[in-house]
Amino acid sequence: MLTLPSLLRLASIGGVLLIVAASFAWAAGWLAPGRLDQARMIDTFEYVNGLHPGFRRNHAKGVCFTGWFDSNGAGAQISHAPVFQLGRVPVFGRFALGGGMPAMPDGPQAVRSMAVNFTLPDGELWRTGMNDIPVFPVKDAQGFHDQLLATKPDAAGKPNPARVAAFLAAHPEAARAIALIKGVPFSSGFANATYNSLVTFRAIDSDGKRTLMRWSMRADDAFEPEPAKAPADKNYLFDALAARLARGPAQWHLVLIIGQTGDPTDATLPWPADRQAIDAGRLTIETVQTEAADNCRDINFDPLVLPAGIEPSDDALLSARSAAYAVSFTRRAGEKKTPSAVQIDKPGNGG
Amino acid sequence: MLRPFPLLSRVLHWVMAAMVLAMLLIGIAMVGSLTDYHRLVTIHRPLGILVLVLVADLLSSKLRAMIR
Repeated sequence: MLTLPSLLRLASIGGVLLIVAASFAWAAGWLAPGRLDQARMIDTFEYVNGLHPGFRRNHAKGVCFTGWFDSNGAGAQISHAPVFQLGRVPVFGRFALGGGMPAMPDGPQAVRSMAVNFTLPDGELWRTGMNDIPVFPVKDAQGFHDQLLATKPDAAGKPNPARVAAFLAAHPEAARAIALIKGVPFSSGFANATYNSLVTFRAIDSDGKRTLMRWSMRADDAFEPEPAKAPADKNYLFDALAARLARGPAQWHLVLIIGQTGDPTDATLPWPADRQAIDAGRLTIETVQTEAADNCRDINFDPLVLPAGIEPSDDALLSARSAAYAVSFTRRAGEKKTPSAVQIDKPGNGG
Repeated sequence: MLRPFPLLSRVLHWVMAAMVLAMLLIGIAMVGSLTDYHRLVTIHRPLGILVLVLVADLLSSKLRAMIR
């Protein structure tokens, strides 16, 4: 029978349910439908580049590599991560071109990337994605999203200059960063390029002391500036990499750059050139392989897969990259795979 | 009249109710937040494992009570 006390009890149960439902809607972002989330970020990649099932939504064109890292022990002074103890750890990774088109022609303007997975003796993993530019053009997810839309090629295959100008006006940090990027010449290939973490991390030493840190992979191969005009082979960069490794392993030095209090954790801003740099050891890349199920293809190079001894800073790009990579990874994992445009055993087969 | 559950069971019940609701909210917030994704994942994972352990404990004590 419905008495007043039982009505009150029913009402309070309804009230609790309503509060739970409202908090759920708030947490899900349904109260702010236009906001930028990771699904929308990846939707925008698909809108700008077209849908290429099975491929990464960004850095879509690439090859896998394997090798090892010889630590010289010097990194241990700022981080207790086992990767910095004296010794060798196996690595695999991926060279790629920035951009979401898996068959894009290699060209002088494409940003080149190196992603590395270190497999540590205690079972931990360290994954890092680096680019051959000195700073990143944007400082956060919104800037990245704005840039994607602003630089979308129009019918003639070129970005609309008015939209690019509007983007640069709205993002002065991007205009400054792009000027810095244009001031550093690209190298002629993958093997003689230096790749930078761009984002900022923190190293933790064995006493728990935290130090701001960025890192670079500095090529042992001598720098040569890239040719002004791209060769006709659409895969000339990847073909040259395979040819280089056919002659023997290529090497890089992992250099940890030590930040000081007050150094920016904004990836558009460089650190002063005089920051202490620790050469932590040498990366050796021995072979490259066409992307396949048993190599780097199905790996998400999430920049927040970090061993104890390295932690994220408050750099806004880190969480955003991790979140967006997860959506890209989930989508492509459920899609049928098409062979990569780069077939290592078939050079010159470009695009 | 049913015998009331022991105090510990009742406390655990409500703590777990709060934890499961928190999981739901953190989970849905996590997949829609670029800025807090990482922070939320680092709560979501251990909390989920804790709920799993508690549910396993609850189930096993329930089964033991039924056998008895």
